Amino acid sequence: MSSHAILQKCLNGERLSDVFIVDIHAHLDFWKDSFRIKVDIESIVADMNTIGIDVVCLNKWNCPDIKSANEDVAGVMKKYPDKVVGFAATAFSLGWEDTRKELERCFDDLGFRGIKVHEGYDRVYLRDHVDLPEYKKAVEAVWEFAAERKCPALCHGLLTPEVAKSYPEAVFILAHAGGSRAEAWKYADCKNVYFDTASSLTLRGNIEYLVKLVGVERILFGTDQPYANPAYRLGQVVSARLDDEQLKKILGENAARILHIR
Amino acid sequence: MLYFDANAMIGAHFGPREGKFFTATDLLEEMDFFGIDEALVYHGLAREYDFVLGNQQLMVDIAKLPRLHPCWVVGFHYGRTMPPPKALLEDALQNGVKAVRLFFGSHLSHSMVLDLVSHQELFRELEKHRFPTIVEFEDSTQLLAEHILQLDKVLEAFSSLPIILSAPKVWTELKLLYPRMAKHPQLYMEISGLHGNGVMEDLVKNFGAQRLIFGTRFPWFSGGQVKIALAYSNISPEEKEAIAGGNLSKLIRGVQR
Repeated sequence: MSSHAILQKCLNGERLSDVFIVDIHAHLDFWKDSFRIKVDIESIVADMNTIGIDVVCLNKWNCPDIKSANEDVAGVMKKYPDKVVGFAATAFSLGWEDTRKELERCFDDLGFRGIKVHEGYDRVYLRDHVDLPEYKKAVEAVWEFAAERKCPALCHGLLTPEVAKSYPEAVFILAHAGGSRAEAWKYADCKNVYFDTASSLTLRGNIEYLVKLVGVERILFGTDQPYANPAYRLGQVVSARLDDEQLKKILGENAARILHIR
Repeated sequence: MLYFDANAMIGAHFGPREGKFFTATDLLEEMDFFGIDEALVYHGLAREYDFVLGNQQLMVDIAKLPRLHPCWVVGFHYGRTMPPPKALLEDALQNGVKAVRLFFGSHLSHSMVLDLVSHQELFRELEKHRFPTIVEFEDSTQLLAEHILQLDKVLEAFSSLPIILSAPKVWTELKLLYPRMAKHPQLYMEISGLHGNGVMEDLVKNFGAQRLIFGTRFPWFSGGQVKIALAYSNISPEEKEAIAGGNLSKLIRGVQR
């Protein structure tokens, strides 16, 4: 392939069948404000097939309880074992012991490979409560689990550079990092922090900036589908002025390495 | 297939990298890289400082560049910030301007408020010439509600004026626009902000491809991402062609001198 063959295929709307692609950031539910045009697993798989996304990392968190949400993800993992990797959602109001138990259940019984941490679970923004002892202990239980299992924790909020440095065995993914240069800069010297590209604010030049800042090996393609159009998010990444070898790393090779797939 | 970008800017501007100046040459390089044929261009100076100076600078910067078409930023003429609408439109037509653009709700762009009374004269002149009128709203939800209510009045009062809503992106704005798209056939939507999943297909299904217009938001966003989203969208090649450039070309051809 020429140095911009991936971009050319995307501009023509061709399936990227010769590039291994992992979507590190996707959901099995919808965002409260978003449209409900495409929300089910069949729509997600259809879009993956159109574009050529091989693996999607799914989590679900908008639901009455976190355990049944994780079971829903486990259900689609069974249906599409080669396409779906489960990321366990956490609800810190379970308390630290049950938070850990739920992660153990997800990893040991249901076959999950990652954790999704969101400051907005439990219908409260944890950043406002994270210093309360009961929450703090539950959040720490997640970091400890990620370090023990050496598994990726996809973090929307709650992660700090100090946390990342305190758990060097864990693999942290800063969600939506492609959208904020300032946020990415704070984590530049945390070698165990990766950066996902799932953001509507990924401005022209942001991906190239990230590559210069932290190196291409720490950037992961993410879409935030089904809220966001995966083709649009793919376009943000492949439009970066990078060569195909760099794009392949971002699109899938880096994720394959931290997920231990392929 | 002709790709005609309805939303590109050159010149000095705030963000994404403060102080970075994007020239017409930069824009043409971007267009070549992503295979975009033509662009409607406005100037950052007109958006963020002075209408007249910015529009004049635009004409200098894109002179002899036939792929770039002038789009003047316009607004209130009270306080002598612009020529009165009749003179403005005469000047625009003489200079080969293809469209005008109005920004509402942003302190970065003249703190303009959409208000039928204040803009009546301008919209009347624009309608008389069927001049493509691109309208962009700032994101704030509260302001949006006010602007959309005023937009209703403009659409009612000037039913032959083609209005292109530039880059609607937040969910609330899109939801508010659905009933307006259904009611007003002269209302168009530029697609650079449509990152919601399935939205492009849903708009085509509900209102037809002839109501959507390709745009990139250069220099903030890459020229490639919307083109790629359009390429993968589940609509027919004819519909893609209309969105990519056919619709905008038709609106420009419809200008009456």
